[in-house]
Amino acid sequence: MRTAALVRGFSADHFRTNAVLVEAIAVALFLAIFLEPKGMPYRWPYLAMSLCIMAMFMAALVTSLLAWRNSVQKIDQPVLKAGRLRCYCGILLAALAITIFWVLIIAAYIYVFLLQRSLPEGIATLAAAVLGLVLVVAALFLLFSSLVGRAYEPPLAVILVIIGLSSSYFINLGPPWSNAVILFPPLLENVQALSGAGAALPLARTLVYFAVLLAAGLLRFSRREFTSY
Amino acid sequence: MAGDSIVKVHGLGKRYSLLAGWALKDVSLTISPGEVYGLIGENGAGKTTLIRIILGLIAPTKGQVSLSRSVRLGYVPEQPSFYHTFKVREHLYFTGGIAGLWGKRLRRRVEEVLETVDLSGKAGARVGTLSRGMLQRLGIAQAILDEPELVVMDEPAGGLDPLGQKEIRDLIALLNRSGKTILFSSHYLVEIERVCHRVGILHRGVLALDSTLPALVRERKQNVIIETDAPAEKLKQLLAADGLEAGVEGSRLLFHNLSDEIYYGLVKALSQNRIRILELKNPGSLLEEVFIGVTGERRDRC
Repeated sequence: MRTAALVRGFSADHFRTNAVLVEAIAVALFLAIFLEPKGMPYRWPYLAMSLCIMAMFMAALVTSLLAWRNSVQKIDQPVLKAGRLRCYCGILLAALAITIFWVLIIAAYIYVFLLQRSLPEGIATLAAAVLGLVLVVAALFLLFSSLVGRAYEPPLAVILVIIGLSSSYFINLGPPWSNAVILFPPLLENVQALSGAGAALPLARTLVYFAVLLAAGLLRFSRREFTSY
Repeated sequence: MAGDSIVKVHGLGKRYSLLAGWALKDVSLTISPGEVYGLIGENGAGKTTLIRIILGLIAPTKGQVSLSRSVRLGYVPEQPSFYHTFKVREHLYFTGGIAGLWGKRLRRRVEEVLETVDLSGKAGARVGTLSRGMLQRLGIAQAILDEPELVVMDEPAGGLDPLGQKEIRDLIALLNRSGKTILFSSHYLVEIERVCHRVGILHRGVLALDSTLPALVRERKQNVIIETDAPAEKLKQLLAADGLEAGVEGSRLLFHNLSDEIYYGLVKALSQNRIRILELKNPGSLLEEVFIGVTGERRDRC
């Protein structure tokens, strides 16, 4: 219940700040550039991939904005009243909820304007892939956010996302480099599973990666020192 | 466990990095239930660090803090930080919700604390529109919402006008009367002297003094200024004749540690020399004296 109150509070505050304007502009620009109705007809793999890319981008943006907003002294009271564990989970859940809100808006746009209200096959796979990507990217950006670490850390998350999206390069290098892929977020695999490349959705690996990121984030947050400056 | 104390700090030390010096050095103190403990110190003395370690927001480098079992904590930071997009009542609902209050109890507590801190009239206002004093009172409301046993305040009256300071002082006294234990730091010595049972002076990370106010009064050194109608020359002659040690500044006599015996002898000598006492005063407050004594002595040693 306390976590629910945190999620509600963080989300309510988020939707009243200029952060929501930034996100709305990002979504509008994306739709205008990549999914403009004049470019129809779009192929399904292209639409699915666009949705995945946008879901990852929005997860990173929303999580970073939420973490930044709450990284200063504002977080003192939530930490004291609700505890560190609930607080961290509250921010992550709020980030996921807000990201899913934006993803649903984009999905509704695609469904209404680009798919002419006809559902393609494999919608469940798409939903699972998008959810997996959002979970991993949000947890990754929270782990390396100023909420738990130093101000210079968010670029580390960006680097990991870039590596995660180019994991095929490492696979093509062969052993031992191809073995290192396990350390990087399974982003490309999720996207490829939708684009007709024939790969299976790496659900288990995605969930394990998310669990590891969550545990690492909680560990770091539980050790964070909340100084007054 | 802290035994019959609500907070027990033992041998606490803190350094923020290996290269940095000690922000706190071997601090030990005990706060009993129902007590108001005032923490005084110069800027950078380590007050906020000590408070944040007690709250669990910062980890100590050495030593330990024991809080009595399942004690609820309320915290009013020096500059409370709020979600300015919320309205006052909404913010308290948020804080109450995350503190585990729900339904009727939450609604009742929100109205009660709004009444206590005198913000009922501003319950519908956005937090961002409140004045500094109101924000400070909202910070207190937030801290006491879930009825904590220990309320910790870091410079609660910092930056407030005299009226605002008095309001905070009255609130502290009110909270203490309702059974809450209070730890607060302040630069305003009068504030501490009026509401605290016990005082700690932090100086450069060391707890230089930890005493009750009655004990301080007993140990007080009597620094007295006596304003007379005689010129400096005459006063010096009188002091020399009676073998008294005092400073002379114009028509003033400045005594450090004036005992009752010396005082009675002085009054007699002054009246014999037909010198009138125009004013007799004690410079500064009790705590000011003690504070300057403690920090001054230590500064000399450094």
